[in-house]
Amino acid sequence: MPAGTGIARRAAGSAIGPVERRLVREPAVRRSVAVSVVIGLVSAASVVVQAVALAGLLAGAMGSATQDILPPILWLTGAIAIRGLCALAGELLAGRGAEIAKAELRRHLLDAALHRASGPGAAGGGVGGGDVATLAGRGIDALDAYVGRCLPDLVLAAAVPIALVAVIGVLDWVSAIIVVAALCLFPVFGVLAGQSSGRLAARRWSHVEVFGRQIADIFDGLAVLKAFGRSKRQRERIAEAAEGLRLASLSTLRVAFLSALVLDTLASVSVALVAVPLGLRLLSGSIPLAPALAVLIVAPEVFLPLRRASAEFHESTEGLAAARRAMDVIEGGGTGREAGGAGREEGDTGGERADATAGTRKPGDPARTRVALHRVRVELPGREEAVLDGVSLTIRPGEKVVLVGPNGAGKSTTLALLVGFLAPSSGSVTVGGVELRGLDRDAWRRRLSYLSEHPTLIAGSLADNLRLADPAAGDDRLREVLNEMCAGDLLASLPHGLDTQLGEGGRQVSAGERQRIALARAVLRDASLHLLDEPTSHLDDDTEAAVVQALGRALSGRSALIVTHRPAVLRLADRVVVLEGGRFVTARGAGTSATGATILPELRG
Amino acid sequence: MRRAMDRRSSAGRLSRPAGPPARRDLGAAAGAGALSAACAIGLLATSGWLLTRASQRPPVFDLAVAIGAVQAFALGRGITRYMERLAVHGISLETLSRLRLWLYDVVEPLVPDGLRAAAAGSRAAVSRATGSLLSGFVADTEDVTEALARSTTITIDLGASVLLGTAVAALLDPAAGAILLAGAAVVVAVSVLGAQLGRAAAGRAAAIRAEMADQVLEMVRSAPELLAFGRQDLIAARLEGARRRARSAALRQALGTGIARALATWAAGAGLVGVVLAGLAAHRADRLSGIMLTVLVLVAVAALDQGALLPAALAGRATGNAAAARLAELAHLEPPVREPLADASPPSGGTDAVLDHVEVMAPGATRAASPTDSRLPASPIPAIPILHDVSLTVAPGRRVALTGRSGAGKSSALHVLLHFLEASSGSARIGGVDVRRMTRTGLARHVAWLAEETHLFAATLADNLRLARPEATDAECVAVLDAVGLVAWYRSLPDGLRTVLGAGGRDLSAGERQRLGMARALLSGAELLLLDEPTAHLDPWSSAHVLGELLGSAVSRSVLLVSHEPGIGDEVDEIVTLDHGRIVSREATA
Repeated sequence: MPAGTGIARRAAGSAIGPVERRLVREPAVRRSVAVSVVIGLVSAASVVVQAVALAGLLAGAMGSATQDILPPILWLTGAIAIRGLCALAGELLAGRGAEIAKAELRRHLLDAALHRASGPGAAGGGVGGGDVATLAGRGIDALDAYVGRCLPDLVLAAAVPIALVAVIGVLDWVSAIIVVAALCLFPVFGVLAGQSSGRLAARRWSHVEVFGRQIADIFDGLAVLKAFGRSKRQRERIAEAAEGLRLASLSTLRVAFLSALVLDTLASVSVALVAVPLGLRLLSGSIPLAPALAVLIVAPEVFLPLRRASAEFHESTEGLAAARRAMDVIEGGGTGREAGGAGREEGDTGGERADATAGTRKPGDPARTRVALHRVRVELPGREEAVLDGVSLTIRPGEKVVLVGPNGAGKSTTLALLVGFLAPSSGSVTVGGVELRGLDRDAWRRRLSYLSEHPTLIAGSLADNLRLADPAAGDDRLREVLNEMCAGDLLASLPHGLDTQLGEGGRQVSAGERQRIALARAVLRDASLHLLDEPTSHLDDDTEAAVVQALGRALSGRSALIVTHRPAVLRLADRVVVLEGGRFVTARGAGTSATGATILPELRG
Repeated sequence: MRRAMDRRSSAGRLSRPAGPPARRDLGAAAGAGALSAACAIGLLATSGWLLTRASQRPPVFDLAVAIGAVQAFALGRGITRYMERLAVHGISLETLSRLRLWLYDVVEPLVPDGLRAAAAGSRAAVSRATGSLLSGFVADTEDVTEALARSTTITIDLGASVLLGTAVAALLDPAAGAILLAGAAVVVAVSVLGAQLGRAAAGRAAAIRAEMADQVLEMVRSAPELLAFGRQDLIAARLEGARRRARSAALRQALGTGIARALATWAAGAGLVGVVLAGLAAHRADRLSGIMLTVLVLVAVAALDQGALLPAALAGRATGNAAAARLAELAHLEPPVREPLADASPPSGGTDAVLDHVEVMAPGATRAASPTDSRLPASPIPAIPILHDVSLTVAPGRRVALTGRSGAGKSSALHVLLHFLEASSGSARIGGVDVRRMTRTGLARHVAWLAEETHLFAATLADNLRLARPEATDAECVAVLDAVGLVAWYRSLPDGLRTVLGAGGRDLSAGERQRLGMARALLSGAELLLLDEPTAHLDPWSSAHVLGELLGSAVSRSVLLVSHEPGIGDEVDEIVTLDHGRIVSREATA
């Protein structure tokens, strides 16, 4: 993000449309906005009551007869009491509504994010898994102001003026016509001013951006400047850029505030336009004083919601941007090729995410039957070339296949296909001759164990983390797999053994420790097909050798597809398959382990 | 502790080190704001006068002045408001300029190691979607300034309307004036109190939101495994608890703001009713005409209207205050090193680099709190050594590799030689001279640094290279590009050395970036190159190759290299392994 001044950024942001329509389609958002609008209308009604009561009192005071002031004072007090209650209720409901809407959005976003993160598409341009996670976490919080205030205010900006004009019409129809005329000019002038100033502001904005970027750039590269002994001189450059930024921002603002000038002036001039004819008509006696005064007090209130909405809008550009990104992710989350995912409710997601729903057939057991890819092609959004292109591969029962190849060759994608994170755009993935997408997904995954390329530990104890793979495993079994995967010393070093809390708030683990825990977790699972992505990354050579040996024992009798770039892992292979540019370029039979070391440099060249 | 910080470092206070705004500008803003408030009050008051007087059917001529005044006030309102906005933002932009220079002065001595505490302490600053920590602080200066602009505006507007309104009301009826002033005072008091109470709730809500954001992140990161293990139920279950707490915190916060707003509305209303009653009493006692009663009441309406906006305006200051708190914490960080005034660096040529029994403490301890300042936070990082009795020598032309787990202290060892960190005992010497006795410029003649990720400035290729040695000729620039294997890339550039790189400029691959960084280091002419995992961000297939080429380009220079590359033994003369800040093995290679 270029570090321009936020003030100028927001002023220039007025060029963006105010409503994120896709967001408004969310039922929770609608409910929240509807309730806020009702409260806004009640509040507007009490403003009218207050105005009429005041006008009655004042007009009565002008009369000769002494009036009973108690009823209008009571009306006035009542109206004020209700206005206060509306303020309270408005805050409460806006808070609650925003919270509900956010929970809903977060759920949708998380579903989309889970698909992103589980498919290798996360690396393939567009929104990465981390971005989505940030968006689902803090990004959504930026929506508070937008959903809680800006959206209701936008609706109120349409509803309240109409209601108030109707009230003025009842009091005095001539004034109502004048106010309507002014209201009609409001958008016209607003758009004119907005457009011309928007264009000008956009042009000047680019200067602001340049200076802003310079400043952020110098700060970001400060360590380099220091290392080369240049940081002291950069102070002048910061001063220059900051001064440039100030001047550019000021000239941007001079233009950007023009639209506010027009709106302010129009609002106050229309009060004058109402007041002067009213005065002249009072002079001729064609209207009584009380309604005239009431109209005078109500007239400014007609324009208030409009001005507030435009101010709110400037304030919540950030929320709007977050909403846009969120909706983009939610709608783009499923490209129709991704297989179904976690806890998604059907029919609630706009219907654009056609789901390659898993079927109900019972899957065959890879320990007894073949798992195969037939001429599989995979395309990912944001990538021009297919990630996999016409790839075929068979894993026979009990066979260990090792997949090697340079980055981006599609190795992890191949694993994702087999887990069912992705469905091929053409070709098929079959288990015992039956298409994977026709199988009961959960039953299929029960036959699998999976180690991701970037394994993560959840916040919880070591035992919790291991039992993700097998909830029924006893403590002894957990210790056993940890020992197998060279994590015995790690376990011994933990203050509470298996019950030690890991991750956020608990013991921090190094990348190597995490890898060994994740490996233990993967072999803990009594699966017939193991899908292991870079099982020995972050391990030193000695540990790697020991782990490879242990994996050999753990995987005996089971099928496995192992992705690696480490020569040592090739020792596990019954067969080595080399993947390059989305195609298999070589497939070598068993016994390559000795020559494995030569395959890798060969690929590098 | 956090609350104490917040109170101490409001946006207004923080902008003070940056210098007070010019009195003339503040006067212009206040003047325009007062005029604008006068116009608003005048518009309603003269309109009320016009209507009530007209109802008495005077000759038209009697109304002419009022009609003119109504129109003038209407036009003046918008224009004065525009002037006020510009003046206020002019002030705040000037403050922003000064605040940025202040930030530079604070941060420059801290970079990079002194900021570790800030990075660990203020997660919020890092996660501002601006990417890096430092540009996060730059964005903080904007938030502070914006909050300042907003509070200046609201102070001017509210102050001007209340004072003017009170003055007019007091002229008409002293009792009504007093009531109006009292009502406005209660509005201000209630709003400020509500904002204070709301701040605690907001802090709690923010903490829960941050926790939830972390959980979401964790869930998304672990999604592949959770899905593959069929444990997606965990995701929903874990989030549900946090969601429920976030909701109740948000509701409590909304309740606080809501009560403040309701009380402010009621206080303003009570003030209005009071003015009406006082006015009516004066009218009955024949001290106030009916026309003037109308004027009085409408003035009160216009003046009190501003007060109702106060709670919302105060609630909006939270962002600015949080940013101010983060910046204020920076100001309390102790720079990890002190730079000498005079340079004692040795002459160039044939110098060796030595770490002699070096011990380094983790930087980031806060400045010792003075007795009156006991609310300052304690040091977030306890003083544990990050390097322990580390000795090594890089003789001229030799290459030494540092290996070890992450966090073992490898980068810290380089940073001691760069004088980013200071040894608490032992010393780092270059050519026999302690680095503590060299200025940055002096040190840079001997040592060049290549980090994990080369920062390219948004500037031309030539500027990016000449950063290392401003007087370098074009031919020398091309020569170093050739040395690092970038000459083909350079020839493909449309504008040659004038091609703009960095943000908004030409994109470079990770490999090209590191080669360019190496070219910059070579151009500096320093004899000692400190390479900190220069290929960490390259894919494993090309990293060994690129590293080999980078080292190959460093002909005849001394190199101290941090690397995990497996085949590194072939490229260097010695491998030194660190663990927990201690040297655990030294291995001379062929």
